[in-house]
Amino acid sequence: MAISLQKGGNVNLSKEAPGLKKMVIGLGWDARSTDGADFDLDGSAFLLKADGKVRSDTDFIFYNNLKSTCNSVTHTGDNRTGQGEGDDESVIIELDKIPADIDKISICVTIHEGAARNQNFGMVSKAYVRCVNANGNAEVARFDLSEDSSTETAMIFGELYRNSGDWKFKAVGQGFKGGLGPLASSYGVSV
Amino acid sequence: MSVNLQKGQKISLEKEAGGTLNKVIMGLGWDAAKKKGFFGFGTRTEEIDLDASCIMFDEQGKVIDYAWFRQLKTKDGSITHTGDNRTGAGDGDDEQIIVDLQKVPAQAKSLIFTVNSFTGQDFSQVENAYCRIVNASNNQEIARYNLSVQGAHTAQIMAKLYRHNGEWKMYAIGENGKGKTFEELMPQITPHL
Repeated sequence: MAISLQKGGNVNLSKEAPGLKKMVIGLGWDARSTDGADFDLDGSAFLLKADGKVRSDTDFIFYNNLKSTCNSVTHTGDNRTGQGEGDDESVIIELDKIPADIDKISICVTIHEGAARNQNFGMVSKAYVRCVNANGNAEVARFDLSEDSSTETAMIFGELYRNSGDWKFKAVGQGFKGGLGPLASSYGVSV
Repeated sequence: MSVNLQKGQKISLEKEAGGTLNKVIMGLGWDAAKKKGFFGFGTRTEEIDLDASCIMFDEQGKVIDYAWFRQLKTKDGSITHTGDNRTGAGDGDDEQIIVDLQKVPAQAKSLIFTVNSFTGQDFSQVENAYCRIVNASNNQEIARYNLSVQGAHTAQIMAKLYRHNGEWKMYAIGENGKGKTFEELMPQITPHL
């Protein structure tokens, strides 16, 4: 049963989806049907050490870097309009392959050129981000971007983190000013 | 403490109002832009007849009823339009639409508020357009959305009041459109439902 995530909510993945090996983060939205520039939403993931920073720039998984060096995180590619049913972008995470020195993975959603195009999630129809158990496709959690991040152009959806041998998912739902560049810098990526 | 909305913003009305809401007033206002007179002497204000309307939609996007200058009250009495202002003269709200949230039927999902230029002038001659929502029980303004509307269009889809997860929310739409009345605007309204 999918949990509708509120800010700060925790999901113990091992409890909600026991035996979870592969998780898919799905990002979806409707293509723009009013006049104006397309809504180009981008999913990204940051593999972080205990200090909250990446080991190197290759730990930043996004539309220009689709696979992590350890093969634990894979981005399925850039969707620039939201055209198509269901998830428009996905980030696949294989929990067993995550290296020991990675303590958490931050999952983010940004609007490409959001500030320049004067766009925010509120203007995008049916934008959401969700976690799915790849085995069986059960949705574990979902966050409604259009409703609950209406004034944002970038946000930290949640963090996958280790806790006493279990993987947990914490819903962050926090907006970030400036877009993907500043967001990546904040995690130690050289932009 | 009224919140100033930005385009795309969605707020929970009761959260902003700080309590249960029974009746709200959607106030709509605008100024006709001042035009220079002959040889730059003096100014005159052209009369612009803008009409506010409220259309009630169900979950499937079908129209349930509407309140506008041709029908000031919905058949169920939940929405009342206070009457046609044909010039925009006067300070404050030029037209008001009162919504009795308790009477709005259960199957109503969204209320869309629009402004149309009935006499056909476009919005390049309109200034200071805004819509604001007021708690009718204490006259406190809950939120305001200032629209920069100037342009060649003849209609504005201002805002939507809608039910989401059991509470009433407001969405600042602020999209330009075309049409003398809301009927002509309908196809442009549906993407926002």
